Amino acid sequence: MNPDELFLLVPQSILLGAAVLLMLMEPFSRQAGRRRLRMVAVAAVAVAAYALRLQWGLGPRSIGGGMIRVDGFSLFFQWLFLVITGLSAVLAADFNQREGIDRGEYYALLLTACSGMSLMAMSADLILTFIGIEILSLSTYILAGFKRRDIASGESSLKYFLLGSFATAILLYGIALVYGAAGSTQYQAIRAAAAAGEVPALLLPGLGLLLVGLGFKIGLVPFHSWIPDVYQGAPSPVTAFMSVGPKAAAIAALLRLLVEALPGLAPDWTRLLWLMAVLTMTLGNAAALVQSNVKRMLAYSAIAQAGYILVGVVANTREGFTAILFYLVVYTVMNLMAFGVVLSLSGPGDRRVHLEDYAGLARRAPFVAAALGVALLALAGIPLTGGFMGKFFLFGSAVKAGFVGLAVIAVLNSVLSVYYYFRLLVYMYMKDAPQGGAESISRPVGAILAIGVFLILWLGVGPDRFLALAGHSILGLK
Amino acid sequence: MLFDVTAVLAKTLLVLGAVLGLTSLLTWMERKQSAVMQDRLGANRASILGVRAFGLVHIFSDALKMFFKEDYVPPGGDRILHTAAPCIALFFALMSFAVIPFGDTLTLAGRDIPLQVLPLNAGILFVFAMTSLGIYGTFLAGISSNNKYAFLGGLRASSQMISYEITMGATLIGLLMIFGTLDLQEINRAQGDLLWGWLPKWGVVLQPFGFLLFLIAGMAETKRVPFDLPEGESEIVGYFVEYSSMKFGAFFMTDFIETILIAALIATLFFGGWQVPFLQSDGFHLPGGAHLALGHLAVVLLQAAALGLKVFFFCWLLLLIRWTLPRFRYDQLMRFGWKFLLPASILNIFVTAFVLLLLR
Amino acid sequence: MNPLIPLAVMALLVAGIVALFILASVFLGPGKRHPVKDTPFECGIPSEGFAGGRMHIGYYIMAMLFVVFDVELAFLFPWAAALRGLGWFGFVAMFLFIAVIGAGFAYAWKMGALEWE
Repeated sequence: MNPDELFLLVPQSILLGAAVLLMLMEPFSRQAGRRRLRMVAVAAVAVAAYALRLQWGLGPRSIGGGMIRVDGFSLFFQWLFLVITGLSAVLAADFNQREGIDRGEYYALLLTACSGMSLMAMSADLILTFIGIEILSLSTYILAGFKRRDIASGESSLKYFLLGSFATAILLYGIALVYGAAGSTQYQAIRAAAAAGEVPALLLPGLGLLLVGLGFKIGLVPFHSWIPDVYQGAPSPVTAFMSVGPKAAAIAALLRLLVEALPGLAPDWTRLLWLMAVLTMTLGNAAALVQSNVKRMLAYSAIAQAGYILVGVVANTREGFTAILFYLVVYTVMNLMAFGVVLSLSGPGDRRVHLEDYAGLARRAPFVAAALGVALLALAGIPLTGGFMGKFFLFGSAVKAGFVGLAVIAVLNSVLSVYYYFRLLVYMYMKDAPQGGAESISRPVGAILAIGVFLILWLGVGPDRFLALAGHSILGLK
Repeated sequence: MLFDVTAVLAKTLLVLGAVLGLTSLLTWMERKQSAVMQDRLGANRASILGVRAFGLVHIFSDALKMFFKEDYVPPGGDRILHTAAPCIALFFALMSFAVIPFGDTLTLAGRDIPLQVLPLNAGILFVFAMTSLGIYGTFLAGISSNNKYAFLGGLRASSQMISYEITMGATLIGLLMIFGTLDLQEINRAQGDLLWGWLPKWGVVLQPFGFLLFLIAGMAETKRVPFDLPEGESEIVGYFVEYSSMKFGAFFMTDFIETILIAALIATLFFGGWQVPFLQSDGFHLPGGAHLALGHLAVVLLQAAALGLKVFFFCWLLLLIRWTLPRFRYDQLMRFGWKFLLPASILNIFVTAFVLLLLR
Repeated sequence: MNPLIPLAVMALLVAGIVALFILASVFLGPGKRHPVKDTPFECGIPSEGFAGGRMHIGYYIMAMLFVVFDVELAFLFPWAAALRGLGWFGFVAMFLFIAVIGAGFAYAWKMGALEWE
């Protein structure tokens, strides 16, 4: 590997180096150095983001013998993951202190998870994709159970681990089949093998198994069953991270796989994903309707959102992929906001997460309620928010690609989702507080919420710049 | 083809015969050794027609006794695993000897026969694979016996063996670097060279620290005193507490076979294996320039005998240590293995690599 | 000659010897059952509970550390055999690899994973 190639991996090296440093800081530093832990994490993310900035405009290139691709697509996702990781670290800080889990390992695992996600987005080889997924999964398994004295957290971690390792095994089997069919694990070689006349017989079952493995990570129905329990039991900042990071990473890996390696099978996978998208949206929304636990409701909402994103994959056009990237940005902002409020209000033991706990929030904490309200409106896809724009582009791309039925189902689903998002709004604005006590919210979280509100409105009114960025990023995908 | 298979069969029988013979000899030797060291007489009663032969007859009487004892499976235990455990332990212990070379190439009737049952270019890995699989035997014995002592013993044994297995492998890395191969026969041949014209290039000369670490890790791997916690007979008896008859005998033999294996590995890797100092394929070449010609067959026999002698010597040394030192405590054992041996062996790797690359 | 042949010969012979030992003892010995003989051996006191079940957490940790270090070892073997060819690049690469594992080891050590008290 020459120095030029190493330069492209510097952001990852920074993340992993900082992760090792954080891991060692935990046992080797004194108790007073707690604040320094998250400063190191945030600093590592910032430095990595700066190193990434230097790569912008270099043009697409393959390194590591064609295993790793550095192009607009991977840069976009690396950037997104860095933002998610940085925000998760900041959101977690006060929560962790309150719950007594403010430990170096927490931030170290966030950074390794970020590195795994980045590898998934950069990978042009099934083996590397697998390694990325494993780095990400192992980190999140532990993060989900980070509050180890808490039964719910342990349950969440164990369920995630058992189901996740099973899904990974299936994914690995799919990789084996595809390798058997194509004779290589590199995307370009697989594509060539599928293009050369007849499609090898093993490729189709291989594709199916790969979809199972990645679908599990994204949380597509019928591989979604872990999401509610895991999201509900995991510490709230971890849930916030899991609901955006791994999901976006798995979608990035899915896009790369389908578009770069298996365009020859497009008729097959669009049909499969069409069905999965419909199931995912409908089931996620239907189940969210009856939840009284806000974390669980947001978990089902996350399932439904994954279904919307899948609409863009089914469209299988440049506009569809651009819309996915755009929507992922919006989704990240609004979901992190929603969870930021949840984790700030959840109180000691992470327990106050029921609808009743939000009654009269508008009077107790007007700013927090307003921010959560904006996030919920965006999640529901109300005009003037980024969520509306994202859905508009997504469903529009499906209509343009000829999937009118899918778009109609998606729109109907959005209407359905308004019910449960608005129910929380009703609780916040139209019910009396059982006991009035002002809610306090830490300054960093407040700042994030303020920026989030601004971003959501900006994306809803003037999405052109972000859309252009997403469109530019997608050029690498081919 | 027929010739080849016959040769393989002969080699295999020779190796197995030698190993099993030495095993039964060691059962007697252990008793005699302890007796000598403790100022006792030791085994000397069994006799055939009045012939006692220093108690050597005890080997036969012990074997007969084992065969005719009741074969007992505890009612709560798992019958299949209980029977499989000693088979696994004994099988993999014996299999390791397939890659130990006991001579250079023997030329017979114009054909070359490599004096090694299984010429394998990754021989040392084969040994480690076999010893790792052997751990299953002890562990299964522990969990299939429905006995708390056996369970504890099995846990301790497997945990101790895997801990020291890492160290055992890590101590050899330095040696493998120097010889640049994983093939035991190649390593053995390379040890025939001379350093500065007079010192045989044996592993112990090149890697004295590695040898010490390997000796310690090897002793721990055989689960013998001072590392005999899994079977400490005065406290928990061990993973084979619910075993009787030849199933117990199998574990008993495995113990000695592992001792022989460690001795054979030490001899092969660190003490030139079948190499006799200054002996080359056509006879002795002494440093002064003197030459003593020897026939091919004589050389081969001499080399095989040299290996046998070295193995025997190290078996004896291991017995000597076994009867000299007291037992570790379990936390001491683990601390020693993980906190001293492992870092030391990794340090050894890097120092060796550094020096090797400097001298390149 | 195919290396599988000697391996098969060796395995068959060893398996034969092992089977002979075990089978002979199964058929040659007597078989008298007795209620007292059928209780687990426990210093003569009537046994309680069942064997197995929960074990010291240290064993799990040991097993995990073993997996980490055994994989490391599996990398070290071919590296050692090829070190002369790899040169300083190989040395530095392996040093980095071991350093990362060493950091994990230091962490485990300091966190008390290696204590058996």
